[in-house]
Amino acid sequence: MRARLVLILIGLTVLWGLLLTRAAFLQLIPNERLRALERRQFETVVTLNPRRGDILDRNGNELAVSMTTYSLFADPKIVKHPKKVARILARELRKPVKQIEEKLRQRNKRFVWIERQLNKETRDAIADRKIRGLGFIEESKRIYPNERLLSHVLGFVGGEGQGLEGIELHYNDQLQADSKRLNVRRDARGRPLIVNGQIFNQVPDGNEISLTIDRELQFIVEQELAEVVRNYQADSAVAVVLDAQTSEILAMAASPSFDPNNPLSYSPDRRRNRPVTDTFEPGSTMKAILVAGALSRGLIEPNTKFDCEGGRLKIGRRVIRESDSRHRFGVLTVNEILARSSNVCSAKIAFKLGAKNLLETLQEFGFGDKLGVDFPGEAKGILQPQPWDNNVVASVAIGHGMTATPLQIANAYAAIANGGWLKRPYLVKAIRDRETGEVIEMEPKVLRRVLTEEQAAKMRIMLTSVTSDFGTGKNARVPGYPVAGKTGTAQKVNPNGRGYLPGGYISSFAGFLPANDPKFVIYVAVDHPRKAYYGSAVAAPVFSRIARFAVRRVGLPPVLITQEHVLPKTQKSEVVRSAASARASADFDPIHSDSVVPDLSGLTLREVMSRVTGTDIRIRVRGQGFVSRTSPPPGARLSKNKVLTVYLER
Amino acid sequence: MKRIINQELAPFISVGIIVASLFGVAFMKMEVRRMGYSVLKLSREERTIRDLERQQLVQLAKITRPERLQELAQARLTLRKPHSGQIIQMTDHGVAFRQ
Repeated sequence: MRARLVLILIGLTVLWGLLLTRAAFLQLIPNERLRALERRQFETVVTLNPRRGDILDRNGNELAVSMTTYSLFADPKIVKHPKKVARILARELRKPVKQIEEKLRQRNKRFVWIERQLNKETRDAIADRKIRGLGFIEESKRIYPNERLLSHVLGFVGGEGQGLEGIELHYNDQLQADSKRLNVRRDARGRPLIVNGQIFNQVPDGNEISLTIDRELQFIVEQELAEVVRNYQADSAVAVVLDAQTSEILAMAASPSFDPNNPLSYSPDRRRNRPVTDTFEPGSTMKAILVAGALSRGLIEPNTKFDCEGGRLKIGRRVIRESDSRHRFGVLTVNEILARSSNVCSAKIAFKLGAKNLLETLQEFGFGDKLGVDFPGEAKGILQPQPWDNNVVASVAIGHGMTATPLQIANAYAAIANGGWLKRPYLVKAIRDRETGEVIEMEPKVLRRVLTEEQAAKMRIMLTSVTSDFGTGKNARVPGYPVAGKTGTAQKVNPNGRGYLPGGYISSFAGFLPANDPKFVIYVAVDHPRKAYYGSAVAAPVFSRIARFAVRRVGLPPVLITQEHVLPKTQKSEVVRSAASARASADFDPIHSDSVVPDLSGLTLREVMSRVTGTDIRIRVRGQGFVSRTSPPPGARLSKNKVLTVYLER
Repeated sequence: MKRIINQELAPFISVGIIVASLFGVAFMKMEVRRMGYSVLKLSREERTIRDLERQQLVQLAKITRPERLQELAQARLTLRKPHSGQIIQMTDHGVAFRQ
């Protein structure tokens, strides 16, 4: 009996020993297969989808933003009552029941999209129903809150969030970020076991891009273009506004535009950013470049005289005429040639300059080659290869026989405006890394010097005469500011055959202001206006309206002041007199309900409101004008109801 | 007598300490896990709030877009676009320009 007990004991001991050895083997000796099994059982992969970086204007206004949306999918094999589920979903998604039911009846599939990019409310409403076989995947959706505004520049993204056109395409690598995959342990219910919850919120965002564009100016430019297209029944219109000193692009627009939230509803033709991608014969706006080339080579001075042959010049079998057949100019100075836009005398200046120098001048000013703007699809424009005969020279002198983009023309004028430096125009002002906060600021880049300071100054003076009483650009004037520029009326190339389109013109105006110290370069071109066609009548007024807004927007002080602009001194009330000093000394810290009431005398209602915005103080207003007194008075505390009554007086 | 009591209780005290330690460790582990779930829940809430904030940011950008403001000004406040000469630009030095 005892021997049996001993044997059983030994047997059990051996078994236990084997078990312990096996356990030690499993626990202590590394084994890849077992580790993989463990990982599969206890670990899960969490994918954090990146959010595409925002695009802002120069003042921080959102132009393109991304937000989380929820895409609904179904596993048709699991969905039990397709018809019933389809009815529920149709109600939430506002879609036909049949369409959803068809998807749910695809039993041979394990995954079908029901609807993509739903908002949170719809997602929650469907999720609350707890329908088996339905699920959601988080996706990022690109939104352009300003709709059509700046659509050509921004471009748009594809279904998978990749940039397809415009800034979205050019800076796709910056805006997009890679998705992050995290391996985390999970519990029996599949929930991730985490120590640091922040890892789920560290979504790898793309970089934030700030453009050089001013949203408000862009809006006005687009409005003006839409209006001129409508009023003159034109095919299209383009405009570019540059910072005269840096060549930053402040506004760039084409009309008609499109809605980037729904880009595929528009033809590709309409989605093109014409100021960069389209070239055309610019017409007389090129005469300024011609004169600049001749001036820089010492061949002419502003008062050099040319005989304009009574408005008719025969070159071989071809006759060059003035744009208006009534113009029969005699002898004109270079200054007058620009002001009156004489074709004949421009051809003569070109002959004096010579074909080789003319081509060199155009190339120096950035024509015939890409400027290198940070935008996809930039066109070079066309400069014919040499040799050029006199016909070609005369044509190029008046802006025909060559093509250029609106941006090239505006940038060439910027070189004249800024003292002779050709700079690279650019659209992106800064790129901010959302994860590190690091900001890369873009700097203006000088391409080359094309004029000396003195030559540029002479050009500015000559171009100012274009907007004088006898110039063609009177309509481009801006009260208070000298405007320099040049009108252009180019014949439009026949798109369906050889030669020019009968009655087809491109009316344009290129210029800058204030001419003495330029801040803005503006180029406007209207394609095939049907009610009038001269640049002076169609494009110059648009230039003027854009320029008026631009100078007001930045608060540029006027230069041309006469006695009639000076206001007569009037007797001002005590309140009004104290307003300026009160405003000057006003401390614009917000008023808090627990602090004492400050002295608000002399402030406007708007200024008072700006100081209480974001607090729980309620303002009662009595009267109009400036603040004369308040209740409670300055120095006292607000009552419990936190009401501050302001009494205004004129 | 006291020594005998100590000798008799010592094993029980040791076992008690070991058991208490084991319970303590188990409790701590459960607490860590519980806090992990709380952190997960809160981090999800934070994300939801961030998404909501973003949604509101987009909404704000939409409702303050210049085109909408202009439409509202014209439709609701019956304002009109100024004609040439209706805008008077003022400067600090008593100078005014009609634009």
